[in-house]
Amino acid sequence: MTPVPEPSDSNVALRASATRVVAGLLCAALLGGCGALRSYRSEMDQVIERTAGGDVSGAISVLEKNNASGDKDLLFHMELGELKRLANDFAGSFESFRKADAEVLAWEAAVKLDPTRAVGQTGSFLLNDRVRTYEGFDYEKVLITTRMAMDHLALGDWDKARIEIKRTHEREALIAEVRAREYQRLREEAAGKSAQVSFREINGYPVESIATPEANALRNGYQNALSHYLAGFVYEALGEPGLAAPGYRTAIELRPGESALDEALAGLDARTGAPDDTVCDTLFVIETGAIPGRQSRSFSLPIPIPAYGAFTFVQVSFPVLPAAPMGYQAPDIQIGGVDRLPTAHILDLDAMARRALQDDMPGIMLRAFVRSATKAVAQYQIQRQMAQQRNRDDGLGAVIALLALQIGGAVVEQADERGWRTLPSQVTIARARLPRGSHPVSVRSDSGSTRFDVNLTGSHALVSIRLLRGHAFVAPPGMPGGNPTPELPSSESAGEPGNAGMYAHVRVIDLPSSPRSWRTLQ
Amino acid sequence: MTRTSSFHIARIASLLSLAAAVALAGCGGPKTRYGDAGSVETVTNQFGSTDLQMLAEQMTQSMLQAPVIASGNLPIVTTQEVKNKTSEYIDTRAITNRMRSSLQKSGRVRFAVDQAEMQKQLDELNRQQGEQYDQDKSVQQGRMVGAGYRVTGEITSIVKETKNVKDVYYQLFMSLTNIQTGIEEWSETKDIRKTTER
Repeated sequence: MTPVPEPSDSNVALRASATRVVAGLLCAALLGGCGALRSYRSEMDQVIERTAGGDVSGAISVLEKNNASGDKDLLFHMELGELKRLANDFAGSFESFRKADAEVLAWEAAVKLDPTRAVGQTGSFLLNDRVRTYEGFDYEKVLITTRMAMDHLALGDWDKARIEIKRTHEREALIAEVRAREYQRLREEAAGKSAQVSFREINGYPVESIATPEANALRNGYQNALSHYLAGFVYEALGEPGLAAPGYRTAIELRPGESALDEALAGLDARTGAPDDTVCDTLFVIETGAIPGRQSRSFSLPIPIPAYGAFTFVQVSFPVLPAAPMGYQAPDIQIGGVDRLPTAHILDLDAMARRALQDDMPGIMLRAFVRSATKAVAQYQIQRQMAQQRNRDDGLGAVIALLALQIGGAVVEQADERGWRTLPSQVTIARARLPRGSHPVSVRSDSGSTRFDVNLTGSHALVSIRLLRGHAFVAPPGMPGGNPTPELPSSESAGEPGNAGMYAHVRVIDLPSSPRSWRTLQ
Repeated sequence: MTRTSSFHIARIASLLSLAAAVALAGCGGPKTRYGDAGSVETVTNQFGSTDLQMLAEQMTQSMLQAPVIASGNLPIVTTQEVKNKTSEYIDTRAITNRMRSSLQKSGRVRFAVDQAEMQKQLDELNRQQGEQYDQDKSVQQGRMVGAGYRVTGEITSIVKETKNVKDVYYQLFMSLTNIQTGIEEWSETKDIRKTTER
């Protein structure tokens, strides 16, 4: 029987040191709540899976189960608001977005006082970015009020939609101001440093997944053409061409080359100058897919240890995104089975998510390097000890200490995967001046297809369509003046058996409880 | 109690009072107060309240000098949309509303209902023709007075931005046209330049 070597003093010290680091990390993780170890991506994958199967109420249950604590955050309210929109519970959706908006208003108030503040972010230097207070990406902040406006439009309250539209461009202006100041500060700070951190320097990082041509072509990470076009449309519907024009103009600047956007501005005077009482100016907003979610991936990085004049490799996690999809094919929308409407690809949220990660990476890397410094010193000391003990029999303790350090560190070292996941990936619009009355509408896209009837009664209407992995959700048009389309849609023309095999098959029906409640059935 | 301990207690009490005062001042949160609506606002370089007030005031003063108004004939005017050719959400109706009220107060101009308000005017006119109303006291149809002149205009902007400077130039053009003859009786251009250095 081989005698087990007695642990030497140095081994005991090493194991104690490693144990302290690992125990410290785990204790901090517990103190920081389960946020540090929670995988938002896997939680939301389940929610999206259920939604794509048409089980929105099941998706809401999963979301609520995963956020059972009383203290709900911005992310929860955004996801719930979006899911309730899909369930055509627009009042409930608005209420959730209102709570999300309250969080963003608090952020606005704080950032006005101190743009460089770091409240609730300290834990990210000790544990990981998952314990950071989630403040939302800039494009998410802008989309909250846009969604609130769309909820009001679905309920037929165009005046209240106007309030949210106005708040959207005011918020956008504030974000622009904050980011300009931040950029200036970073530029001044960078002037005194010789080296810049870039995700391109991380060996093995999928650079091409976030530095896509579409993401690089965006003017910034917060402006979107949909919000501005919608502003133009609402102001125009309410007889305010002076405010509608900048909405269309900004949308054109953000998505140049889309002729359907150019036409909205070019025809503004003609439309407002000679209103036609027989037609309904109808805007179809077609949303497809789901925005890509961030995923934590571990990378081996060389971390310098100035005290020893050396460096060691440490496992550090960074968020990555799945590879960008192949070229987007705009949906095809037809009225009455014959008239194909011209479309404009107005919002690429896939690119915005990639751009947001691109913009976030310097900060993420900086925090990761700070976190890794402590681990790197402990790891280097153990490795050095191991090298010295290589020719002796008492190296087992150092091996155990190193393993404990690496396993403990790997458990805690996880990248932040949070983000508003129920958003669509792409948004296309189509606009037509249609005779008032009932019209069969068919939409086909890579994400699924649908047929439904709309009954247009007012001067303007917004019809929202969401296609997600073969399932369709349709929101009804509401006309300016406070009432949704009063007549029931025809369900006979939709859902013809002959089309069932080709694509997802949707009938739009009216629920007896409320004339405002519509829903889709598969 | 000795003199020394009394001194310590007094010192501790005053320190606590000071700390409490500092804490209360720090926890006060945002304060709201009323300000002068006419004071100069330079929070950002976007179109703001001072720009609106300045342009409306300058335009009104210039318009009152136009011979067709200065002659005292009390012309009837209607306001048309001031076209917004900028990329900023400038409520141009707020400019014309402010001008309209100043011109009315001058007592030298009367305003006929404009296109934006026409539907509401017709709705009320028609409502009073209903059988619920005493027709002897209701307004009669066919008595509306058309304007002799129309006010129109447009606002444009030029934005230039470098790393350190943002320069915004606004130009408001307005004109008064005789609807019968098509003759432009008055026009004016007012400019604003705002430069922000970071």
